[in-house]
Amino acid sequence: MTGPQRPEGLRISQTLLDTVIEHCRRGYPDEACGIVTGFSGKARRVYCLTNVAPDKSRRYLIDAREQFRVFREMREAGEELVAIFHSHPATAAYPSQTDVDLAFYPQAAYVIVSLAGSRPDVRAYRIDRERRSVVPVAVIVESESPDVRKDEHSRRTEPGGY
Amino acid sequence: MDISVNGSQRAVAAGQTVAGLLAELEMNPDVVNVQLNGEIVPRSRFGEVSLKDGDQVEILMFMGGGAR
Repeated sequence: MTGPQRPEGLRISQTLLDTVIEHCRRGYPDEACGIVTGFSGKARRVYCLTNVAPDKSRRYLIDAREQFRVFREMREAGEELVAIFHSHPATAAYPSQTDVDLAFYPQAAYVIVSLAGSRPDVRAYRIDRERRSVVPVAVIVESESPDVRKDEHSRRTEPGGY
Repeated sequence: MDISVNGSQRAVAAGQTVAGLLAELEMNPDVVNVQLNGEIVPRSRFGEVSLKDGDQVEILMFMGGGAR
């Protein structure tokens, strides 16, 4: 018998993690958001996307056109949805009620970057909205071998840029 | 008639609407975005846009949330 499967964490290079944090800092004091794609829980691409929520200071909603484009590119590249990230400009890096209500992607790690402290605090969770379950998972910063780094890049999607 | 939904083939009744397809799929229309042949369908038109044979439909749940 084996125990319950341990929820998978997010494996990401420092370069891509820095891209996530920088996008969140640029968005401050509003919330910023984006998508991480890759394979088997390992980040390969970071998409810095547009927050179209009416009240960006406390909500995020990823632009639908950009989301469709990311999913198309992800499918064409044979990649998977690895994580969805957003910032909490003034609160802790823990999912809010709204985050749980709108967590429609149980296969993804939900990454929250808190900018409330003197340094960004990055945390990841698996969220089951039906069970109202929030399970912290590790953010594992992996070293960048030349072979891996060659394949990694980040993409910034400009509003209306396609 | 046959359409494609998120890359998978699916048979639907002739004249099926976007709203009808979402009901078939048991998806809440209030929390999805729908693209029909590359164009986003406004939520207000889900009930009136009919699908045609060979249409490519993409449906994505919202990605959202927030600090409060």
